[in-house]
Amino acid sequence: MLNKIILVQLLFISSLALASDDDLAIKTIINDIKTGWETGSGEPFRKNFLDFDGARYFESGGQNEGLDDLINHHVEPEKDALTFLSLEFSDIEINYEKDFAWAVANTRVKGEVRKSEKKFDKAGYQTFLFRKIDDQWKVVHTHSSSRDYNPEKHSH
Amino acid sequence: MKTKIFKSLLMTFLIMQTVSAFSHSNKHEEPKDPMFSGLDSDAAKVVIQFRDALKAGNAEIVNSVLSKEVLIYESGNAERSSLQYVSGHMLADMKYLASIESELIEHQVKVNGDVAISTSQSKNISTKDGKTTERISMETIVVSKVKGQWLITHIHWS
Repeated sequence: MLNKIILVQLLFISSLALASDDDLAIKTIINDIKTGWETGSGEPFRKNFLDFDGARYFESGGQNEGLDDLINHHVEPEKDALTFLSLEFSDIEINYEKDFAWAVANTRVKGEVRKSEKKFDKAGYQTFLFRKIDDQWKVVHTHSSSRDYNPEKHSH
Repeated sequence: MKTKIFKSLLMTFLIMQTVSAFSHSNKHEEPKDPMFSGLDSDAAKVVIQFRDALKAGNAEIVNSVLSKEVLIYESGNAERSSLQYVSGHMLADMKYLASIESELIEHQVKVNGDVAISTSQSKNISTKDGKTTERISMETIVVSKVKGQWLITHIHWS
């Protein structure tokens, strides 16, 4: 009986450890993506995104088709177009279904457009979809949407 | 001996060519449109049913295909249950969809075990005071199989 209890407890502890490993891996990827956007570097995207035909990344009514399009026409040009970019992901929630995971987060994006010197401050939401390939989590789709930051609305 | 092997290889090659040519001549597959794919799956049917019900103003069907714990992101707003959506923003969405012409530009559904991802893009055309406005709308939907039933667990509209 004691052996059974110990075995059940060990299984529970190991399942927790497994879940937190996945959480850690996915949160690390999300942090890499944040760095990629902020520095205008495609490297974290090439490392963590699954490059496949038909991949699509949505952002507030627009989309990039394929990883090259995302990096070459969105991530990297922002390095020159913006004086600075600050991106925060908070309240990250991750849901798993076998080798599939979807994560949602609150976002806050601040920056300044180099040409017009116009500053922006937006708040919104981010969806990341992941698949586990060869024991590595890979981003298969992203969707972000935001609006101008409203202190009254976003303070609740 | 070498001639025998050559003859054997040649025969195999000819048979394969014939089989290949025959199989091609008997297939009349429609070319797949990459802009619209995976739409025959049960998960895709739930997404289509949901979209049609919203457009038609059928709250009962909308509610029936949403998971109770659905998380809905809509252009910077969040709703965290079907109850919150149905009793809140749904009526405004129905009113908006009934007032516009919506053209689906692309829709892909990928099923992976008990989870499916639906991504789509629509062109929404609205007319107000004689002025026509076009707006592109993006939609990400996660559909999960819960107790044998496909239900929508996450929507992100922008």
